[in-house]
Amino acid sequence: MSDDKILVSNIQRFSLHDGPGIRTTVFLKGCTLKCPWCSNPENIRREMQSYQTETGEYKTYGHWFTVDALYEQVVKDVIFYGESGGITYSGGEPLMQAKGLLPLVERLHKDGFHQCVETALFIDGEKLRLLIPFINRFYVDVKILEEEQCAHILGGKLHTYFENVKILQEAGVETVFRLPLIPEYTTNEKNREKILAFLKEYDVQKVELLKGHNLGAKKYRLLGLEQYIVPNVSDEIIFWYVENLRKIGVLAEVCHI
Amino acid sequence: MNMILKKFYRQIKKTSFGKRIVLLRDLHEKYDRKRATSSIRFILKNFNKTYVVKKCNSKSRQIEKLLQKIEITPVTNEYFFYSIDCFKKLELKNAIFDNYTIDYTPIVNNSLNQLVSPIESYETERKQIVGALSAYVRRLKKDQTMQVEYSTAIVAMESIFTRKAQSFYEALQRILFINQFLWQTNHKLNGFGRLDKILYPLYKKDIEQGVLTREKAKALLADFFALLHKYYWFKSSELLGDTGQIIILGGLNQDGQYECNDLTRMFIEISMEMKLPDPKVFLRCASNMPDDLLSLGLDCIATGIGAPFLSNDEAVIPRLIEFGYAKEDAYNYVTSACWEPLIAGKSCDQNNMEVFNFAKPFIQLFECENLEAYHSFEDIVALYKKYLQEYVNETLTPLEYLSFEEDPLLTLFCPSAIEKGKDILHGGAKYANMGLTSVALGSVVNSLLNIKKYVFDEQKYSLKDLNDTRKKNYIGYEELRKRLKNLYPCYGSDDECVVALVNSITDCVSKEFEKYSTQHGGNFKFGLSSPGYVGCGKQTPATFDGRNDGDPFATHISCDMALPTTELMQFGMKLDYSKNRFNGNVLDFFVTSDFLKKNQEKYKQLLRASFSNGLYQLQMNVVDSKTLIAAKENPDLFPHLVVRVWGFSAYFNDLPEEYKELLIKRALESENAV
Repeated sequence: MSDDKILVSNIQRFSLHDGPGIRTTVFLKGCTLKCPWCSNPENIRREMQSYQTETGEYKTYGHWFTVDALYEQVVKDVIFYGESGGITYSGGEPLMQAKGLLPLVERLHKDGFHQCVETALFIDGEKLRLLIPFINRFYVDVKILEEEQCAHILGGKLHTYFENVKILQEAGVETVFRLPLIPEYTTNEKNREKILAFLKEYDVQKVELLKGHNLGAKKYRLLGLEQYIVPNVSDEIIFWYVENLRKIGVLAEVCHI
Repeated sequence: MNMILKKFYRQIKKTSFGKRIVLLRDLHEKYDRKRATSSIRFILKNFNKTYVVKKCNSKSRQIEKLLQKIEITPVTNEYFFYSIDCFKKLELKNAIFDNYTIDYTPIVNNSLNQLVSPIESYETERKQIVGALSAYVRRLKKDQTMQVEYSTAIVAMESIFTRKAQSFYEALQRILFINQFLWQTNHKLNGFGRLDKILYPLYKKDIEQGVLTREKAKALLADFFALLHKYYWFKSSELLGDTGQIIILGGLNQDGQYECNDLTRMFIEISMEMKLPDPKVFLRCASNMPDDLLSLGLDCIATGIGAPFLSNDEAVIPRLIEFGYAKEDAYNYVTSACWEPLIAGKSCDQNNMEVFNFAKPFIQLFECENLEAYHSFEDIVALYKKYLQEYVNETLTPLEYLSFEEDPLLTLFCPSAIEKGKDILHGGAKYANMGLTSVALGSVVNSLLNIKKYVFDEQKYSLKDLNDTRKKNYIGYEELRKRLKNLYPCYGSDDECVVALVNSITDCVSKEFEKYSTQHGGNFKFGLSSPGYVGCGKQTPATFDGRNDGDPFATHISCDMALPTTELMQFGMKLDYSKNRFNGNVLDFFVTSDFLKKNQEKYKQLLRASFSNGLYQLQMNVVDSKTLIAAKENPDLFPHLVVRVWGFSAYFNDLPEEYKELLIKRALESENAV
């Protein structure tokens, strides 16, 4: 896999929920996890995938971009970014392609753009260190914090996650933790307790609560994959989180798409 | 037999009886939109109230007679006098000039006696019309009931002849006084102009002197609104809600500073609180407009009443100056009934003369040409431009010599006309241009891009085969039709090639328009928005963008596909509106109320950046498909649901089914994209 190109599945302009201000979100292909509730299934495999549309046309998820080509795309909306807006990298796991992203991220940083990364942190720490100097804010998912469940359900090694959280904290870079609320995978009692303990231990100030959704249904269909239908999260459960987080000094913001 | 009946009908229409029946029939059609009633019953009930004043040589004389005949039946309200006798009108010799805004400044700041014409012959005419207005007030004064109930209003109305208005209340009453006569004398779509600017000095003076409070002023304005809305069914043109009663707020001055005041905010607050579709507020914007005003505007838009419409002074004013309007006039611009820029009081620009259908010459090309002779995309574009030029010729030639009925009432408020001693429409106006609106450019551009892709680039189909499929209305070719519809990049994408193609087409039309001039030496102008997207769609066969025969065209500058907002905005910002292309260019997209409220700061960021970078005009449709679908099924549960239509707001329940369906479709598409 060449490192001088980046495999991107989508460049989403006018993203209002992937960081501050108005942003362009770059969705990179490839993920180290396999979360059952994934709403971007087209970004799990780190390779181009073809599919057939409802009108019979053949299309592809994933296109290779050179740094220059991607740069051109993400600066299109520069007039709207202002002080707080900019570019966000998401996916999949964008840090999988950290080496490929580096020249782009460096260049955008030099040119004064605000950049965010949305990551689950199940990645080699070196890749994370590579990009830290140029990223303004990391959005880190907090999913399943029980070791065996994490390995079995998500396919991730928890110790890697905790090590990366430490790297971020030592680097002092702005980090926002996000809690996807997925019954029963992440919202079961045991996991809730583990999450509270984790947030307390790492002295986290603020989190975002993300209600699970099923907006990726069409993509599952086009890829011929089976979708786990995320049940609705009741207001009581959300209230539980907000309250108990407050008790440990964490401010919780409920995010709506 | 039919021929005989038709001839008989034509003869009857010429008689006084026949004219009254026609008046009633037209009125009933308007009235019927609101509540289904028997036309016979309506005619019988109201026949005795009708009167059509015969045309004669002196228009002032004719108006004088009308004002003597009309019944005085003021609408009940708390503060003002306002009365229109819908059953009496003028017979016209020629087309009436309306869809206009007079300048209400002299109505507030001068007296009618001050507007003297130096030309003796015209001064007689002027005195006659002023005399007719004065006689009406004397009629009021003679009526005991009126004197008792409307004494304060009558004093205010009387003052218009001898002095300037001395209070906020007086100014409003004088405005209503003249406005009712515009409607009375057959004028439709009567705008108000910059009322926040016009009324502010008196408002300020009254507040400072302690004779008025903000609360009282707001109550007066609320009453003003309610009153103007009362004759809704009568005032509405093609669709209920399309009254043209637009109040223009805010705006840049010649020093580049943004001017607004407490009344600017008050008008918006009242709109939000009353939630009426009409009258409507229109906000002139700029990137340096105050933050609280932009927030208030967005708060109002988020209620879903479809106002205020946003017009970017930074884009509009330079274009007006470039076209030839004097600087001070350009900075004082208002609009016609929808959004076409207009100079109030000084021009006789009819800005919505006709709808220019870009698809008409395009379809003609495909009916007349031997398609096998064309081997490149550039050939087709060049050929289309030839048909376009011919279409411009067909459209504008009859308009070059078009003249309107003389109008002493409008002339009264046109300074140059009074100076010259000429009727505003017969050489008196400072500007005498004519504007067209347009539809279908999106369809044509997408059609051309599809042809480029499938015929010339990918060579999947021959032009003839693709055309044959189109002519069958895609029956049996649904997959192909969907693929054509899903074209990307398309009209609305800020892709370089798309923008270049759009600009080259409008450039061709622009250059062609320059070759024609109006009756009084003015120029033609056009814009990329129009009320005609449903009507023209009905008359246009299927197009190569996957649009079926008879389907509506896109609304103004918009995209069926629901592109990211920044992309659509940048497309709008990159289009060339120079020279004569400025007659209303409205970007149109959907957003739900919730989304707008939750992301207001980001929308303000979006808007300010857009104002600095060439966005022309914008209207946001704030609805959600669920509500619309529910309202379509059970209209009784949603009696107050207001939506935005082409340039006005309307109660959703009042719209014809096809407009409801179109709004639902567009709302669904936009929500799917999110």
